[in-house]
Amino acid sequence: MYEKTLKDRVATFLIFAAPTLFIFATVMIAPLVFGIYLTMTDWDGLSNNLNFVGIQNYLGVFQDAEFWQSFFLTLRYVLVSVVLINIVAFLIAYALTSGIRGQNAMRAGFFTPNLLGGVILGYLWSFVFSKVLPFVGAGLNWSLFKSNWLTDPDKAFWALVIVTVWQYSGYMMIIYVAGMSNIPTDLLEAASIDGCHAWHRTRYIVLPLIVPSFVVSTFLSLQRCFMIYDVNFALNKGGPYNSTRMVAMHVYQKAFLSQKLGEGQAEALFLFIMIAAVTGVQLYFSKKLEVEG
Amino acid sequence: MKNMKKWMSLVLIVALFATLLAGCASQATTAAPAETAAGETTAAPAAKSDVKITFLNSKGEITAQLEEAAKAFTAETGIEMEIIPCPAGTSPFETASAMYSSGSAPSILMVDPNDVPKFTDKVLDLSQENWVSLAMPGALDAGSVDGKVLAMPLTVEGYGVIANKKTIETASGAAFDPSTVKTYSDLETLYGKISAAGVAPVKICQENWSLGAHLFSQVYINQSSDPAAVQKFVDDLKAGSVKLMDNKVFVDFMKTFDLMIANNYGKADPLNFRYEEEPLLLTSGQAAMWYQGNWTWPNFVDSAAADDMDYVFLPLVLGDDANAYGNSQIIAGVSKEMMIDKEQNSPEQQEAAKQFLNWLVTSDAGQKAIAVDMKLIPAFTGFAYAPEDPLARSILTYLEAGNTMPTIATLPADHWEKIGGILQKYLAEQSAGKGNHETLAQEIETYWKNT
Repeated sequence: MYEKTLKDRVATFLIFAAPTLFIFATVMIAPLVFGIYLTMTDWDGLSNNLNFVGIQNYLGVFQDAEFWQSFFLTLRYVLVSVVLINIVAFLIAYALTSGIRGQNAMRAGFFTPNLLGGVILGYLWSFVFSKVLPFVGAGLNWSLFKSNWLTDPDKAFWALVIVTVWQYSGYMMIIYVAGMSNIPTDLLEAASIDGCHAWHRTRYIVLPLIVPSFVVSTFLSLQRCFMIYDVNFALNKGGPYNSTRMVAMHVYQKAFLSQKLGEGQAEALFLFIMIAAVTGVQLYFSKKLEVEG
Repeated sequence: MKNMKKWMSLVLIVALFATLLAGCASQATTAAPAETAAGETTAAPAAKSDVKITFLNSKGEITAQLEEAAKAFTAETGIEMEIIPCPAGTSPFETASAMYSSGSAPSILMVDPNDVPKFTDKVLDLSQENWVSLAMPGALDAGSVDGKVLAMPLTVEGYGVIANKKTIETASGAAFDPSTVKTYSDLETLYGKISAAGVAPVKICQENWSLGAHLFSQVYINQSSDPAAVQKFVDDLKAGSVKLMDNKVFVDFMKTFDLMIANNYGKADPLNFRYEEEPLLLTSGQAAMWYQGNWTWPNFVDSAAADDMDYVFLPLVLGDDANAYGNSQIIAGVSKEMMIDKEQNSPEQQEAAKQFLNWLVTSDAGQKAIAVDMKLIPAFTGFAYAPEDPLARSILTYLEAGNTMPTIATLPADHWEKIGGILQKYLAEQSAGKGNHETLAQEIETYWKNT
């Protein structure tokens, strides 16, 4: 089973990994390299001539106030969403591993929003916010819902958070359920025999042992929330007068609507580096929290 | 048994590999028929041809009618045509350039006039086509680059204030003559009479393309009757040498806009509407006027009563000078251009596309499709049909009297989106009583300087 030479080991590796590696290289790596080349031109996305402009586009990124505005808005949004998603997912997972009747059906039910896809969710909630809630608010005379949440910049931000939390809680719940199911029950039994309350059991046994799930869930929700576009577009196309336009939508508009593909690509590259940095830091610190079961 | 296992695992590997290649194979076979149909497009009509062409439609209102026209074309010539709609809220340029990048450029693309120069090296030269001599004077200008006709105009459209004559007469209790509204004071009096009867005088269309591309273009177009002066104004804005607050047209525009906002239907939440709902307000008599163009008539037909045809266009009056340029004119011009791609479509597909464009304006079925089904004002002479809806007829009266202002085709690609957003913000703020003209002017000037 153990190949003696390097050549044999490489050959074995390639037999299994070559198709995937090929697809990855052509679909992800090649466009990335071409994109980096494009950041140094002034292509408008369509014409057959492009001029080399060096690092001018990168300087433009620093000067683009809208990019930084949407980036910090996205940061705020990511912070709030990731925290809420994980809390909600954890609570639902905790409730659905406590052995109540029908918990498997309920798990499927909570997971369904994630299957709908961002565009459908966006349109669904757009309808709810613009027609259903004002109707309810007018009927019950509840001033919070009297107007369409999507036409006010601050409320539209929270509307977006609500839709995102609704979309991803189910998916993260599955991850937490898997983590909680792996906690050895004899540990929990031993604790309750020794007189531990439910809260102490949760705090000292359950929480430390689901840190791997927490790491994965935080990583996934961070990455997905940073790159949000479909819900952003379908819900209200970037908010009343672009006030909830997240950074991915700004990059798309800069590249395809304003026809400045070079600048858009440079901004996308910045975004890639920053997301990689944030998630890398998150993973590094989370690994330190892991406890051996 | 060991041989059987080895054989089975080999079959499994081959099967898995084959599914990987399946995707590549099917693409190769669908590309072939287009090239094997050499010379069959000029065969007798109604013979089933293997050529299939695609049409990128950026006019949402006519999608259904366009598909009917495509079916009629296929029945006559056997060439199949697929209509691809643009996603709502995106510009035709965005969709077209995305399709070019993905290698699936449409055979015919319908774009806005100011997008035509960007496709110069990708589209066919149509100067030798039959319909070039049939075009109305000036209709081919926007679609021509360097003297070569690159695009066929689909229609001439106009926009201004659509007024429901019946609603106004019921509210004011007297007959309404559109030519009596020539100044800001006239407009204010009219609004007063209408709102006294409990009807909202106006509904401002809050869509960013309506505010940015149409309403605000009056600020540029009303500057002067000389297109060169208008262009200079736009160029000065780009250079940053214009102070909008010192510009009479802008100041008058803001005054009229503020009056509209104060009398807007649903002004408590002005942005909470959809474009499709707004014709309902006019047909149900809840609002009397709406700034929009004649392209919106199909949306009226769905909700209008059979006898409710009394709509007329009013100019957007700015300022108190009855003779000022723009107070008796409405804006009209070619609004959509159709071009044929030559880069990613085979010569047979290009011929089929040329055939379709010809059919559209010279054949009986095509002319009927444009004038009667899609209710568009044709940009060509010799049409056997004319649109019968009140909006198109109102535009035609302005066109025939020479009371139109040309549209401006040199605005930046993202103008409608960015300026529309700025105006939406102002609309929301002013409706709450917190609008500021200076801030608005500054934001617009900043946009132009950064273009």
